[in-house]
Amino acid sequence: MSALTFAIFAPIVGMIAILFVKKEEAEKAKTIGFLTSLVMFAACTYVAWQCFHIPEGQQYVLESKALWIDLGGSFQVHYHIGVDGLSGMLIFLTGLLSVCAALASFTIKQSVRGYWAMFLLLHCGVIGTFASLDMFLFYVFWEIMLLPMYFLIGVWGGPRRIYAAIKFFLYTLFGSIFLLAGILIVYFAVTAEGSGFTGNPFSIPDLTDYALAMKGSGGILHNFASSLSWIPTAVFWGMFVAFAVKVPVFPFHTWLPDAHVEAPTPISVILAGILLKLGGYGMLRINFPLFPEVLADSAFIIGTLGCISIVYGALVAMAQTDFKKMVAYSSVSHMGFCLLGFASMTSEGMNGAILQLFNHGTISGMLFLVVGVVYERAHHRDLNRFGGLMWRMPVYATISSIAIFASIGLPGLSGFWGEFLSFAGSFKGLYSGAKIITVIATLGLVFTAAYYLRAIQKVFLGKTNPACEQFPDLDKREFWMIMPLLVPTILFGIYPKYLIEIYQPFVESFMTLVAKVGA
Amino acid sequence: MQVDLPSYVPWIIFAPAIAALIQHFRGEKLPRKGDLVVIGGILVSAFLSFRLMFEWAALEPGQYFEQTWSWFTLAGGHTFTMGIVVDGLTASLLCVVTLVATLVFCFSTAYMKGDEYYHRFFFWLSFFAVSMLILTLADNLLMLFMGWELVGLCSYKLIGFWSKEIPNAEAAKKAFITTRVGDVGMLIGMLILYATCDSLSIKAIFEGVQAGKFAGSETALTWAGIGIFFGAVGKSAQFPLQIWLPDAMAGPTPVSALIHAATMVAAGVYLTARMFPIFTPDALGFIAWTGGITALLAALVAFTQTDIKKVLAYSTVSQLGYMIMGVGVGAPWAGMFHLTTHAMFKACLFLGSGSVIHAMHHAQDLKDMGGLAKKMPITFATFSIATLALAGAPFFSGFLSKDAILIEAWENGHGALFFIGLGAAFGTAFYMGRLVYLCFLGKPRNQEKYDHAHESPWVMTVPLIILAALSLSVFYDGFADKFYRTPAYAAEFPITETNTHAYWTTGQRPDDFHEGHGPSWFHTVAMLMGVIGLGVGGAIFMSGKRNEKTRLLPSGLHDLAAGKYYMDELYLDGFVASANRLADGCTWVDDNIVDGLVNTSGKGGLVLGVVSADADQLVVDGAVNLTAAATQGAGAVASTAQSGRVRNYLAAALGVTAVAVVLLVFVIG
Repeated sequence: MSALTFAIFAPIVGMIAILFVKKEEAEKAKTIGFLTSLVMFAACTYVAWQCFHIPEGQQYVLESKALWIDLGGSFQVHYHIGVDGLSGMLIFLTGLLSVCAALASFTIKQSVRGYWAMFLLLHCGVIGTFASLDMFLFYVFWEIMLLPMYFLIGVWGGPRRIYAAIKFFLYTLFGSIFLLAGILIVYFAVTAEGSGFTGNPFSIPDLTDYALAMKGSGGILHNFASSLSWIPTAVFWGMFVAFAVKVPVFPFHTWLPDAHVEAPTPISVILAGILLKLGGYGMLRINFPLFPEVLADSAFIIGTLGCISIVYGALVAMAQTDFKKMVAYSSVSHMGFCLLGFASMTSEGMNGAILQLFNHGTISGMLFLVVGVVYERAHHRDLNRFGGLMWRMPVYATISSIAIFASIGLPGLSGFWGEFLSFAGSFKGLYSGAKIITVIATLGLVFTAAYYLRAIQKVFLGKTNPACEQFPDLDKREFWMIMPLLVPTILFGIYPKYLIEIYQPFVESFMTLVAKVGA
Repeated sequence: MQVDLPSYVPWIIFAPAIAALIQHFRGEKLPRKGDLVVIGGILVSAFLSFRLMFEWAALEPGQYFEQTWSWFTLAGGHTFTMGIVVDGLTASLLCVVTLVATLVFCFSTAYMKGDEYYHRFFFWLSFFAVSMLILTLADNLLMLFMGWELVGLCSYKLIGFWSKEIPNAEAAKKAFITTRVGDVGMLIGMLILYATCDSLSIKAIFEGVQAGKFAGSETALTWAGIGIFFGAVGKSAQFPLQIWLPDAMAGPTPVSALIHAATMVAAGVYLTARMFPIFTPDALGFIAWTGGITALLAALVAFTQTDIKKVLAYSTVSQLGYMIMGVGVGAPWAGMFHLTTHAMFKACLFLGSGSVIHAMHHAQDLKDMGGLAKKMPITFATFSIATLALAGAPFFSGFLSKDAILIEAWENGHGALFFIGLGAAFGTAFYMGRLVYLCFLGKPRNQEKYDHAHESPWVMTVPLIILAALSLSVFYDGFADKFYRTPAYAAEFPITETNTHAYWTTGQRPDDFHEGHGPSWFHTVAMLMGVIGLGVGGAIFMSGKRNEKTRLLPSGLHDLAAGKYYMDELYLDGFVASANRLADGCTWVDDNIVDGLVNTSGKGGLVLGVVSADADQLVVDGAVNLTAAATQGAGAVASTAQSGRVRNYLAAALGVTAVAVVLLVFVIG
């Protein structure tokens, strides 16, 4: 069994163990859950470490492949997994956040066993999605994630949890139907007579190579495109919507604030830190490589959506009075940088976008933990009802400020690199209008500073609100649940080299693709 | 010509960085709350800076130290570097920063004594020094930008140091956001340069510009220049972003001296001087006029202020305008020279005002002062020397540097700016005369506070004496020629096409500088401006009939200046209010339209779903079963009634599935 398979199914083992825990000893579930997250973290770190040493000429490491579903003919679904630097980095992020989220989950008191079972199942789905090299398997893991998330919000969430959970579930399902349709259309296209495709019709690497070989002659769907020229565009956009819902991109973002506001803290952390990254990852792994020519034609629209997400997200965040909702909208704003980078199809832009995936994961994870800490003490999140926490909770205030300034994009903290490189790439973007879009997007920087500084002032500065007088500073558990995210934020902020190096082969091959498409 | 960097140079940054780390984690528990650690760090830095300055001075003209390290490399071969360059600009600014910082740190030990967050204050001071030194030493725009933003952070934290009071926190926020507006401009400038030159290393940018990468798109180069300069407009408080600096006086006075007078605000001038070769004539004209307008407008406001620190703050804005004007008229060396002299005498003035405020138990309005010369002789003497320097009296440093800017303006054909500068010089002298008289001379206007006033302890007065001494012109003989005429890269990449002034690019000193240049009446007039201005500014109060409230300007102009040209109101009611309205509007759109569409499509999906329910039992059933199972699951666990809305969502999913299936059937069929 490869380390990757282990990383995917370790949570399932933990989940099974929890099923044997008796109701009276529900606390044990907590221990099992936490230990499993540590094991996951170790496995994920090992997986990521392997990605630094990908042998020459090989695209993936830790690859394993076995026939899974055989419906006869060409319909063969494989359990085909493997990682490159991109997925390796995101798997590492998953492991890291799982430990933080597990520590933050210690305060869950209701149906503890069920919670931890769902918590672990969620990670199985996430790591599986990142590791899949078979489109069908990708889809299966993609849907596996949905279910535990639905319960985690719907059962352990806030007052409007049912509404938020169902909205989340159906919205994502709405997107993933397009993904399934796309996968099937691609399947029918490449297996039809005269496609010239010899690989496995679900294999992502095979299809990527094929898409590249077919450039200029109709692309991956050339079989259908000859009679229906709009098919590749339609399938591209269908898949794009599936991933855009997850990112989330304006105008598919409205499930996010509801889900975040209702979800318990650790689930918000995972939602913002990892689940959103799956959207960007899906685009990079499936959407763009399969339809590079459509991407080149659609760059303007994607860039515009990114720009709107950045500015609009920041503006809506500015008007929020709920601390958590503000952070949720800041996620919409910050994930817009990914689209800006993708659309540019430059090395800088891709780098910026991918860095943003990782760094937004750690930074927004921290921010949601920070909000959770104060919520636990005050039982509300109204920005107007805090004040002067800096004098009562100095450690908390310092850590929060670092997280907030990282999110503002202060150089020296990791959030800066994603934003800066996205801008640098976007400004060089290959589509017309790239410069204007980039300049408009920079406005987001001012609005971002405005709403975050306002939040700092309302929560931390001024005289201490009498209601907050008795708040204790961070305890050991709270401190250590934030530290694993704070350290990479500072480290990669000053010296991002190793983070950048790990996924560089991916960018290189993507740039080859762009060059060949001749965008 | 490039020379290898001495190996100790990175320690100029590391020493205060280590001190800052120790201070952050252990400061509160250390003896004296750790201030000695921080002072030790900056002393090491200062020692190394001076050593480096002397080593640089021993090089041939045109030689400079440089070393770069790889930061990270992107696919496609874009390497970003960290690097240090040491030429005259760097060397002098290093010495200014570390010297003033050392003195201010010492001063602060007395000024901040007993403050609850004394250790935190010293942490931020040390962190500021680190950031400022990164900015100073950087040989590329990326690293410079990093330092640039970090000094902004320190400024934010230190202006809001006493942020238990909300107005102080507001001032800090205003400073950060206003400068951020400038930084966005700077970022855009960097993006233009990067897109064309494919590098952010200053050397590579000069090389690219010289190699004609902007040929045919000079407008882009102009915009790049204006963009970069916009960063300076924010940081150096130039019109129209000057509004934050007077408010920044909410910070402790040593902070005002170090950050908001001597170093950080001057970083904009340093940036424009450093990037001088990329500015096209159009960009330079923009820069010169921005500086000139700022110099004059801010000087007028200083006439109307009654808070000792506010007068000095507007004076700083005005003097920064002077420096920027110097760069803009084609004499970056003169701008840098004024930066250096100004750093000394303005730090002295601010620390002097700190000494007064300390003595007056934190009263800083002129209405409580008067006659303090008798009580505080050392403060008075040093303040007066610095005032003479600021006013541009002969034998003081300000005379040389201000003179240089004015003469360059005249020489390079900026007649209008020359007269504006002359007017601002007179105004400067005048309001300083007023300030000195109202503060130190005449009769005490608040007898009780006067009786309690006392001279400050030696840790405060010694820095004053040192800074006052450094405001004498004897230290600056030949200084500008040595340090600022031959900046790094000038010899390698003389960019004559886009440059208005040859001194900079050829590194040649005009032999006849100070002799025969400008009209013959020039020096006399410039000197008289300062001396007469000072004299008149003080003398009008001698009768005792006038006080700090007396309107010295024509009535309409006074109201305009006292109201700070109503720019705060304009921004608050204009930009800030519009942004807030826009934010509210977007939120409304988000709740009602974007989310509303989701709900509407839910209803629409219901119809579609019913119609196409028969289309393909298999796929639809699958989807339905999945959703149904999930809903039932949630229902069972939470047993909460479902709203009508939920059904809409279900219907939406059905509808979409139906569409997908139709599509599939269509394609397959």
